[in-house]
Amino acid sequence: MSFLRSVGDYFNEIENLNYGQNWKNGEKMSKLLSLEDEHSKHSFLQVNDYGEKNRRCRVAEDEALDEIVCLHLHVLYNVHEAKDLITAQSTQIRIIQVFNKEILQKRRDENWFLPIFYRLCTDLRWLSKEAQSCASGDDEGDSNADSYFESAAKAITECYRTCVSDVHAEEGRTKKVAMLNMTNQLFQIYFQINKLNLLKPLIRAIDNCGPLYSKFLMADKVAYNYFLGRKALFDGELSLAEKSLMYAFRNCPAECMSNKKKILIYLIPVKMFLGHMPTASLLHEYRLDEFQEVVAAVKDGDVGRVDAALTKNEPFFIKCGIFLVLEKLRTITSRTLFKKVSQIIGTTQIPLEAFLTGLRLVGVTDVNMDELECIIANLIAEKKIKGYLAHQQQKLVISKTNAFPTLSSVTSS
Amino acid sequence: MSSTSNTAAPTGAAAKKDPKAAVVVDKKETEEEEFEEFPIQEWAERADGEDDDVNVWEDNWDDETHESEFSKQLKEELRKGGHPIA
Repeated sequence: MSFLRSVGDYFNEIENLNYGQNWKNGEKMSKLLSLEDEHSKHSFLQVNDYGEKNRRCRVAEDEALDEIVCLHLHVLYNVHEAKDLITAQSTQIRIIQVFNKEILQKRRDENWFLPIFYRLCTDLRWLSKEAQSCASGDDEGDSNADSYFESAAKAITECYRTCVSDVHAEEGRTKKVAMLNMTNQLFQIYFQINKLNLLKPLIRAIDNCGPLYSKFLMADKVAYNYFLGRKALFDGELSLAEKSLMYAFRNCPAECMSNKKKILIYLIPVKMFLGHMPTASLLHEYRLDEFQEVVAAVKDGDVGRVDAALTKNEPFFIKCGIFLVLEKLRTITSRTLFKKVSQIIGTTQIPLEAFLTGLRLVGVTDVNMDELECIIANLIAEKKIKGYLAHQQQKLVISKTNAFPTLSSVTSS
Repeated sequence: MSSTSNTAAPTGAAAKKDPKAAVVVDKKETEEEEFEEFPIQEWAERADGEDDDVNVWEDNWDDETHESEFSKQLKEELRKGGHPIA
């Protein structure tokens, strides 16, 4: 906002937008209360305790907004001048609390200000992260390591309650439409502090929200499906993970390449577990070549090569948070190895010793006969092998037809 | 945050600006890991099957039409192990 030359200009701009109380103006005003917007760089807006000044600008006839604007300038001061991210974070929480008490709870049949609220929450998440890294750099004990995220989650949850209980407003003006955006805000916080179990009631509320779902913004729906899919992958709910991540991938605009890539990082393992392998060109297009060798090794049934490919790109996969998930690819890779061994042997009764020979060839030496039987029994239970173990004879007896069904035909989740 | 330590830099307008810039950069960096905000909020929803990227997932990778190098080695190893080969 290069046209701002003074605090007065800034207050005028806010006040003008506050006259026409509609969603569009809410979006514009959200920028003026954002930490990312150009205005935040003006030193004349970075004022300590602006609200305490005797002669100051005011937002006329709107005390709540006036207080919020003053607190916002105090946040800007603490971020840019005082460099006190901890005070900045606690001030941002104060803003959210005022917003809840004076706006969300008091203004009935209005929701045009929700874009402002979304922005305030997003900035609070960023400030909490920064405050936390400041604090963890300062003191040794990390017993309170997550306290900034927790206080942020608490403030946002209070607002969530206000919004979901707004059941009397007419459609189009209800604050309930904020549910999905707030669920996404909390999703991101709980990912940070590893408390995804707290999302259960929020997810259930979205599942049961009925026709309201169609009123949510696409931006929020895509983000929600991305978070939901990630959670489902970690919970081992593969079909939910596939459905959610496919929705997110399909509906994420093509120009948002970096988000599409983030979706793929979780969608690829899910698809692989379900027997759908990403093509080399897809991986290359999205700069995910770290997966190429893993995919090739899984397809070939080479367990040793899978391990080596994972180790080679370990830092990348750990950064993405999927290293442990990818290790489970060993199971379907073993299945493909056993399929190859069975085809080479060419009968329906395969000596277990032959599978061990296969495993040793790929460098797996830590599996004994009992463990091998266990691996095979699991594959049979998952319907990935049609057959049974003849323990006495130390053989695997496989079905005459389609003993190793294609993975994509086996629904296992 | 490491950038806060820069505040001890020498005074003067230019030196004063640097730490501010660092804060902004930090913000960008942390957001790189996160799902980015969309530049627009609303667009048309696509139904199941209306994907841009069809044919990016292979289902039939399993029916081996050509024998890979690894399959050849496996066959050789099994033969050496005294297993009857079909």
